[in-house]
Amino acid sequence: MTNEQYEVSVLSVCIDFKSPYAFVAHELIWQLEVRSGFLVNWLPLTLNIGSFLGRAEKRDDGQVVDSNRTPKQWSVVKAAYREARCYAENQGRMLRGPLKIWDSSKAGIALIWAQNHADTRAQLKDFMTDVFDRFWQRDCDIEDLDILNAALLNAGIQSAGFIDYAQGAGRASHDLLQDQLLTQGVFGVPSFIVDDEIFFGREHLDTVLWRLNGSQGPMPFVRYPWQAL
Amino acid sequence: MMDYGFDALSVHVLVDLSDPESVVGIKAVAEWARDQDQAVQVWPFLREPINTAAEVPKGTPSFEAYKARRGLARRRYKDQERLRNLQRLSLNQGWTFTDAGATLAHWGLLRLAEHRVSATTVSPFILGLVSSNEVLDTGCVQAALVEVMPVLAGELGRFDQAAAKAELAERSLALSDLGVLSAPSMMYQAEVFSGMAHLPRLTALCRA
Repeated sequence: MTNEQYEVSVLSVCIDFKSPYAFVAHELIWQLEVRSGFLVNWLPLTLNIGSFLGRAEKRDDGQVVDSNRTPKQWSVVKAAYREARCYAENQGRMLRGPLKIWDSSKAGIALIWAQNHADTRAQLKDFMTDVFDRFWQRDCDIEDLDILNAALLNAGIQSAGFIDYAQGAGRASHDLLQDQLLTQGVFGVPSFIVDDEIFFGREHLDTVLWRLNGSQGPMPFVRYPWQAL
Repeated sequence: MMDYGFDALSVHVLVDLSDPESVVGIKAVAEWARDQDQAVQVWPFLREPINTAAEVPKGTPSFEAYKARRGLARRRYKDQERLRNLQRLSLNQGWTFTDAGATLAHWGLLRLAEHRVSATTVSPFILGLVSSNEVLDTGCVQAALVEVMPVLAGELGRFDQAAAKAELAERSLALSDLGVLSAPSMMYQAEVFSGMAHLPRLTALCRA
């Protein structure tokens, strides 16, 4: 499946590797694909977090060295991480808050590449899980193309030409996609696109499935899946 | 320090009845309370969600353009989700509270919570109320309140909208100081859960 095919895919899911919400949702979304049989088309949405939560940078010891965040913004950020950490721990995952706001666009381009070049869904899942897990353990520089190239290889995905792609056609494809998604009304991750309808947040997975299955019966209520779907 | 009237063993749900998401939440939490045999009280919380983007210093033209486009997308999404919640409740798109009706409903909700009326009782009251009329004014709210709690009839005769608004605003401000960011939210033993959909996680905590 190529990036350009997303318009005809059954279910498109927008993610950003630097989002804690996307991190705690991705495993559930993979389960949804396996159990429901609907193929998920993963789309990178590279958020400009500084534009809605301000920016901040910390030292290794957690001391803030640079920030323009207001107390309200900090309270929202801290609440989000507190919440996401609970969900990550429940999945047996480690979530360490990043020390800066990363530019995740290269990882997004690598995701496009992985979708286009993975021979199996397992390879794609391995790549995503590896990058997500290591990034949230502060063990993956998602701004480094060589590291992303190695992650592709580790997942068994051929990577010859990836670096050139990331600096040329892949960058253009990524940037065009950002414009398309924003125009379509996608503003956060994870977001699910069914036809032209957008669902923001994993709490809508039941409703997403309901839509995919033809909207039979009453619309489900929202819930955050705590255990597996 | 304001006395919230929150007891430690109960789950406290904070809602804004004018937003269908809160009404959906009340229904969900009432079913959950019954299933879990968990004490739950429903309280009003009337503050606009924090707009963190508005507090970001101005940047380059492209930065500002991104902010504006993302903000528009977010507002469009909220409208879409409101329609979905109205559909979940089988309500028409024109469903709304009058200003006075909303104040009275939240004032009544506060009195019910102070009397430890459980969510399982509040839920049918709210669901009956919201489906009674497309435009909810003081008349239908008052009738519903007296039906669910006849003892309120006397107090309703002395209802002062301005004073009620001030009381609700003061209380909501104090709750936001405790970390409540938006409605619907839940509090359990001083921990705040933004969004009713965290019930499964809350289940695990209450069982622990």
